[in-house]
Amino acid sequence: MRRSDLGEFEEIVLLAVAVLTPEAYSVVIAEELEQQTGKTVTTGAVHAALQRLENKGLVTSRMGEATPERGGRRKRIFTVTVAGSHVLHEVRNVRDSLWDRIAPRALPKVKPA
Amino acid sequence: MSTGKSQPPRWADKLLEYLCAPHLREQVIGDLHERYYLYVQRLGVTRARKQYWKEVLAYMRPGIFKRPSSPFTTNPVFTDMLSNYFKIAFRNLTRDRFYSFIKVMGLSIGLTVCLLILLYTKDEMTYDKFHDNGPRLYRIVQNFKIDDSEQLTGITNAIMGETFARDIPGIDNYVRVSGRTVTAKKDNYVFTEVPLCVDNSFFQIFSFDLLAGNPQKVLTEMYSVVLSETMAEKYFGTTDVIGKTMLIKAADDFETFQVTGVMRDMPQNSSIRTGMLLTMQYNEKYNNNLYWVGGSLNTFLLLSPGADMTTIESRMQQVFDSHTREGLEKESEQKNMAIRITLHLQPFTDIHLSSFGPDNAIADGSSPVYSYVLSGIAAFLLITACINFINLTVAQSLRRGKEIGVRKVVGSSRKQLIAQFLSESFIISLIAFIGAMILTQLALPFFNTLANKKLDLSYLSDAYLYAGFVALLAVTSFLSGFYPSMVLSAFQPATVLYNRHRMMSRNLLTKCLVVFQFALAIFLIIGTLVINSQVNFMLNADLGYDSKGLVRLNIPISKASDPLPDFFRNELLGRPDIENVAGKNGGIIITAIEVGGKMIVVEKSRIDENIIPTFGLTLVAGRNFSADHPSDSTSSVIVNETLLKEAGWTATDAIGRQVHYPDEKRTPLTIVGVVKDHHMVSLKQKIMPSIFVMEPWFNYGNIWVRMSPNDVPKTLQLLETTFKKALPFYPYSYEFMDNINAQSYESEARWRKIIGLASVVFILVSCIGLLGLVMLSIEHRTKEIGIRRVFGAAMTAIVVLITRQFVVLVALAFVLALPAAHYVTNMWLQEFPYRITPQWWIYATAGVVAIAVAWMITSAQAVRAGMQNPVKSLRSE
Repeated sequence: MRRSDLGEFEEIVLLAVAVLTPEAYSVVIAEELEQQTGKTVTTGAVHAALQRLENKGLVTSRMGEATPERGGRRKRIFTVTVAGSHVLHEVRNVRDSLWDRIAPRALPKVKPA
Repeated sequence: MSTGKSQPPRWADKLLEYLCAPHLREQVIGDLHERYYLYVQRLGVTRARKQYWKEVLAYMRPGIFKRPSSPFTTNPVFTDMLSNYFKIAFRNLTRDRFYSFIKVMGLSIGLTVCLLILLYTKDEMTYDKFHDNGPRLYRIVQNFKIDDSEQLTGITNAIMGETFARDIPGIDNYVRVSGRTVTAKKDNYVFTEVPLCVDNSFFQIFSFDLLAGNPQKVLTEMYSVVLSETMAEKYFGTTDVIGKTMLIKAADDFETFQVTGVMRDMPQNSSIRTGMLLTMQYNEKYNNNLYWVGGSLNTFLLLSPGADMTTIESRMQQVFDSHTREGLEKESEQKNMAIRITLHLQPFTDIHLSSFGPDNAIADGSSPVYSYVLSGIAAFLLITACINFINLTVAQSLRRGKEIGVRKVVGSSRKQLIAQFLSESFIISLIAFIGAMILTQLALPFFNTLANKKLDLSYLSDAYLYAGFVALLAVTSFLSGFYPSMVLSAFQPATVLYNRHRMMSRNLLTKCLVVFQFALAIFLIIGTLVINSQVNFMLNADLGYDSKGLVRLNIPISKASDPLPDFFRNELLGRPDIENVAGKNGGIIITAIEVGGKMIVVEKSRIDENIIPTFGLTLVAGRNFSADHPSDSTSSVIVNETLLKEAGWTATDAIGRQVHYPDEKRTPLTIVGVVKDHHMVSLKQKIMPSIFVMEPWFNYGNIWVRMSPNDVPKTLQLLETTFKKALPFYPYSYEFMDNINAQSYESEARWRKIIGLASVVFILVSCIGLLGLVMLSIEHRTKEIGIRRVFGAAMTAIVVLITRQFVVLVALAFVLALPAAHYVTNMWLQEFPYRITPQWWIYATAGVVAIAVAWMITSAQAVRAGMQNPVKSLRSE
């Protein structure tokens, strides 16, 4: 599994799964990402990313419990696999080492978000 | 959540439920709903609903639509189950033989008609297509425009072909073809033959096989003849006939011809068809007409590859105009009418279906209308036969409910069941198809007379035809098997096995269909009856004379025939059963004359003084021609009432008036008599203004004999011996006036047969359809009938109960068919100047026949249902 196989959206969805474990499913992930990014995120998009991640073996899923809001339908709960964890760490290492090597005044100043 | 109105949009859910793969539905829709309620809390209902749509659309991708592959694979074609399907199919077929017979029969009829039409269309489509030069072959046609009328004809003069081929680039070759009737002699017998006289280029242009002889020069010598194999067998008893001689007579004397070639018999689907070819030189010896206007033969051109048809047409017109302009202008001026002749090229393969019909030398022209009507009938029949089959199968399906239930419980998938029912319908279609093949063979001779063809499997069968057959079989079995297989395989095992299954009362469509079928059948019955009465009307109409016992003998149209009427008269008069004998010209002559300062077109006949008494025509005024008035032969004329009407004269007023020929040099004719209007030709033509003259330069062509019907064979024998005495070498032929009349109604008679047969077949097929519907209805009401029987309902009550609704259906069909039939038959009748007004009984008969047949079928079924022991139908629950 090469890192390049992980798209940007997939990466943050995968991170969101890690953050929200053990209650990570499409709706909460979409809500979380909306809050974090300030953009609209549809569950459809999240679902698509999760399907891809599952196909790549980076997450596994099981059926969770049903709630009245869902009309008695069960949700699909996702957790990060060992492979997913590897990929996340790898990505993070690359990022970190790159951040570490940025010279003090190389980036223009911005206000912290 | 019971928040009422704040439910997510139903339509979006429906859409998603339909599109989303089943295994994903639960989580996807659950997610969507959960998110929706979050939105409602945050944004309010309206915006949440809008957002919901966006969310749904975000799911529209292949990953969602794709159904997972089933772990249970079904491969119905090559499994052991297939043999089981066939076994069950045969058991079902043999369980209720009558029922299966009806099913197979219905399909067979539809298929038979389709096969026949397939052969017909195949023949029509391949007509004239076997010539190697096909796409480059054209026929010259002339369009005569006189005032406002146009007349297209394929007849051309004898010099066009040669002139055009010489002067116009792009024309490679030409061949002239002219039909001729000759007498040929074999030992002491004479036969009438219809050879074609052709140029020597014939075998280079057309792809007819010459078995013996040199194709380059078989027809160079004037007295050459090329025979077909059949013709060679007929005259010589062998096909090895090159160099042998035979005697042929075209006009006055027999001449010796040498056989220079033997050709394979010309195919049935060829416009040029004969068993004997003579040379054009020989034809020109007797018919040497080198005028540019007029003509008597067909000219075919072979264009160079890539030649442009329109350029050649305009060049032809130029050449033609340069030769004819002067003459035509003069003629136009004299006759005071605008004459214009234009030349066109007609692709050779269009000739067979050309609208202006057969011309000299061209065999059996046809009209595409026959193809359209026949194909329409066939398509309709096949579709209705399939639909009836479907109805019958579905009607019977309740009996199979248990079987289907058990199959499903044991683990059959829906796909397998569909495969089973499709293979069943395939078996039935196959049996029906084999039946249809046999029926087709049996019906072919009859169909041939209907379609005026000589269809035969021998020359029509090729890979395409068989491919067509297979396609027909596949389409039929699919059409008839698809719907029942869907319905039957959808049965729920729980309901059928507990016997709680009810067929849906989805009857409206089938009812409409039965109404439609019957309407069509009634329409066709009315059509048949109307055509029939019109044909009978024309055959039995008062012609203005008695056509019974009038016999026509053909004599050569020649100066030498002048004394013949008198000869026959002297020989025959006074013999038993001969009442009168007279002479008349042959054929129909149309000419223009001036009457009271007005130019009118008239039919002109040469008669002798005995024609009027022989035919029994009534003189309204004046007198008949008579030997007492010597001037009658040159300057007297008898006219008919229609001519008087055109001229605006009364009968008595007309006697003594004069009519003039356009040519001023000719003596005007004085009217000495007026005959009552009568039909010399068929009733399909209006009676024309007619003049009757005795002009001696105008030759006789027919002898008319009136005989009494006491001993017809003996009288005919007498005619023949007299004829042999007068014209020993001329072929003897006679025709009764009744037959001549009947022949002119041949195409109507053909339509009568086609439509009549179609109506019989349609009635048959609609009955099968009705039968299906009745059986379905009875199947539904088995319990009801049982209960009624238990409570003491009489058999009649049950019959009425069942039949009532169907009789109403057929009556409805009748009401629908009536206006359509009335309209269409009246349109058809408009073509006839003398026609019937359809009587009420025609419509009534059609209605009564349809309703009676329908009633018989339904009541028979009803009685059968009523006879059943109610215990049987009621105990099952």
